[in-house]
Amino acid sequence: MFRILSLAAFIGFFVYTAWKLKRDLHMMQQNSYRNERYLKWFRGSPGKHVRLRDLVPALALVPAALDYPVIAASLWLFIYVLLFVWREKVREKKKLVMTKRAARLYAVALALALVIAAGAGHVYFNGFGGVYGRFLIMLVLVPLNIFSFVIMLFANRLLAPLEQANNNRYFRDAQRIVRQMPSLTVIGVTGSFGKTSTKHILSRILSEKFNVLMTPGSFNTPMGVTKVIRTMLKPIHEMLVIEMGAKQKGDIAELCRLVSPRYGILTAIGEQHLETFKSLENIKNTKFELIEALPADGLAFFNLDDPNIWDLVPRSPVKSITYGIDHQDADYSAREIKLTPRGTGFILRTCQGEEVPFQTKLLGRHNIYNILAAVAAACELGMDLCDVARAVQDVEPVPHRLALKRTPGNITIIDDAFNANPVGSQMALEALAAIPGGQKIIVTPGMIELGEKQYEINKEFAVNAAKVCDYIILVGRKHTKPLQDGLKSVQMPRERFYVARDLADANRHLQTLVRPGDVVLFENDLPDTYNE
Amino acid sequence: MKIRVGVFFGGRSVEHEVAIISALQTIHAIDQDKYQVIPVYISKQGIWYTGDLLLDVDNYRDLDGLLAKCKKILVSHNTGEHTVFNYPQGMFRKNILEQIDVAFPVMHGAHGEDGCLQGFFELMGIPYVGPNVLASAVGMDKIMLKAVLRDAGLPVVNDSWFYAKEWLNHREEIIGKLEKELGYPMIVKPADLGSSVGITKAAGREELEDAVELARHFSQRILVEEMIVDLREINCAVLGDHEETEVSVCEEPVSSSDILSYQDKYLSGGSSKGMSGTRRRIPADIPEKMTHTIQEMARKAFVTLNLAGVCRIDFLVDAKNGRVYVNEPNTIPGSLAFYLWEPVGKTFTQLTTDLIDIALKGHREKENLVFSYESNILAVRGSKGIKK
Repeated sequence: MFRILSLAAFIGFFVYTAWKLKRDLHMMQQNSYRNERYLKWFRGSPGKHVRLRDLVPALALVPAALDYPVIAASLWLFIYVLLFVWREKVREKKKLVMTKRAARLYAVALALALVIAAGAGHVYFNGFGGVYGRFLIMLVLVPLNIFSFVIMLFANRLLAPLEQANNNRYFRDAQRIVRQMPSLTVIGVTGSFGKTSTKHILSRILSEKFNVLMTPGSFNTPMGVTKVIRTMLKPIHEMLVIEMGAKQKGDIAELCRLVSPRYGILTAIGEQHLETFKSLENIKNTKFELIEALPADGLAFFNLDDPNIWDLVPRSPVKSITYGIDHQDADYSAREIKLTPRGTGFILRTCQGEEVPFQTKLLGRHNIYNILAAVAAACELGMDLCDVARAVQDVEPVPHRLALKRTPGNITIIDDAFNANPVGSQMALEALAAIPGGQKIIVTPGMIELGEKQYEINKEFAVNAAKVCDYIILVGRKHTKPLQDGLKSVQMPRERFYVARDLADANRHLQTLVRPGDVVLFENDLPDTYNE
Repeated sequence: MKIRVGVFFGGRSVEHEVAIISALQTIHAIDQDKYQVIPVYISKQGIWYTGDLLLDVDNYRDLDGLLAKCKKILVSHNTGEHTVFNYPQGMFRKNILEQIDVAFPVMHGAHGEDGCLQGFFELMGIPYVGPNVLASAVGMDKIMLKAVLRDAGLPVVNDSWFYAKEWLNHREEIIGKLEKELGYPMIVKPADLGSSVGITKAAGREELEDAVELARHFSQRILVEEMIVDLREINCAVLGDHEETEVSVCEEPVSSSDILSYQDKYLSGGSSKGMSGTRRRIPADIPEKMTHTIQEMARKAFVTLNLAGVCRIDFLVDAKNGRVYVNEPNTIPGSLAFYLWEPVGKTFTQLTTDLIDIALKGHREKENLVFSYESNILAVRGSKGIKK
């Protein structure tokens, strides 16, 4: 009887821990299977992961200490069953994807947990160390359950060499595939912002004349691009447009080793990911790795309006093509920009002095830059300017990137949920101000990963939003503190803003106040790891 | 990596053998430096095969022997997969045989030229050579075709049509109507057969009845047209799509009887030359002005019917008064009408390359249209967006 009870107690512990490990796995996946990132994120908001209720099984320590092993085991089992039955069900925005890698990692973590639980059960039943042994076992297991991610981190470390070997194999295979297609033209797009939109616009324009493959979604890491090449690149493709993301030095250079780009577009440089890069200089040099990797007959495209890029242009080892709005001397420039609820119009001028009117459904000044970059590249690839203009008219906004939508209830929605940087946010506010309509409403959780300036930038954003908006909904209580401070500093009346618990709460509140004719901006949308 | 082109040929059609010849000619013309050909042969029974032995016309003499040595296959219908599987599958054999990038149908008549196969390619989501489903279907159905051409203001010969079932029940009424509206001689045609099979002329009542009896074996709907007594047939091919078109020289097939019969069209002129073996005059011996008229009408018919690839448009010319009528398009013409392009300086190889490029362009245009949304509306319950 006691044997069965001991066994059941530790199975109960194992099952609840297994469930917790699955959540740890999810967060591990969101942190790109990098232990150091996981820990950093954990330090950033430990409250998200550590639950006080998981301390309750420690109650069993009392009977264990008083040498009532049967009562202790029963109580322990009872509590863990309850914890499991009443486990929280969180609705995640970005679901766990059970890839082979995730499955491997989960299996190893479960095996570790099982060994620990079984070992503990064995010691408990046999009474090694007597009352102290039992007490000690429980004393160790309770925190181990609370900090279950330690098991996950350990499993991840164990698997690291295997995963590395796997990745290297795939990487080399993708490299081989690209080299087997000598007529394939590869265009790399990088920058702190605008790269996804530029990639979309360029691909749409090029598809008028060529068979184009672009990296979908945010497959912008070496492993992501490797997967795209191995599964989506077909012999029919003539152009490959690759978005290149960087979180640390060397990331872009590695991507270039993979795909050997001939054309490189540097959209803009800003303080995105400043936290991991430490300095603006590091960001610049990392983005410039793309230009350094171009072959002698390659072309580099630069946004001349970005002062962070000025000192990079003369450093370019290949021919440079520039674009800009403020700099009318750029090779490709735009002027007479007009913003309307239907989109944007402007006049484009090429280095040959050709002038063509452009019309687009896209909003915002930053999209003009994205269009200019794409137009410049398409023209240098031999496309006719009129074909290009026609294609630009058909470019659809990227979902969640300043995408203009209208609901049947005649509410205009600017969906900018995927944005997360100060410059983009300011542009979204400008678009919100420019569109005629009833109330101007913003729904936002603010911005993250901005390093030491994070507080200041968010506060300033709130101040600017207050100038434009009739109503402000902040999503989340804790991390919107800087925004709340910003609103207070400009004496935003309490009845004109609301601090929502989460996105669902924000939406509920929004529905109570929105009226036909209003314009609503959804600005930024933090990953689950920040739903606090 | 070469672009892998699946050439689909044969098929459940009376023009099965002709399609084999057209396909083998095409395969040998395709630029081997740029493309890798994967033959997909569809037997008369509708079973699909692949194998290199299918590339040599001599192997077709012993069809059963040939097919015994080829691999039976299934082509994945899942959008975007484009995989050719061994069928039936086995534990100890290679189940995935090939991957194809572009489909190149070289089929004549039913199930291949009429939109059926094109519909399969649409489901596969693969770029394919030639017109889309609707254009193929309309091109094949003489009744619909004439309605569309007439609506576009293109000249077509007067006609009348009825269901074969109606004929059985109301023969006298139908004959009376035909005699009144069209008058003898008439031409009786099954409505939706690609070739000249089942087409006969009727100079009097008895012949009309025999002609309909014959046609009714090939189609449920029967078309009867006025016959042009002093007839010349002129054909002209068009290459391109709705945006850009090129026209070929005109040709005049020389036939032994009044209508270009099945025998004339495919069986005369040697053993295995297909359509190119038919006796014909290239360029047709007609005035320059008429050539120009026919070429422009061919272009207009091509665009009106939303055709793509290479199509041969057949015309009827009344030699008495010089009037020109559009007869029908061949959306996958015999031998791909390559012999009409050589006089304008386009080799058969260049023609096939153009066709593949047009297919890829059409597919790109289609991909820029919205078919469905990524997000699952059923999965979002009031979490984002505003419901009113």
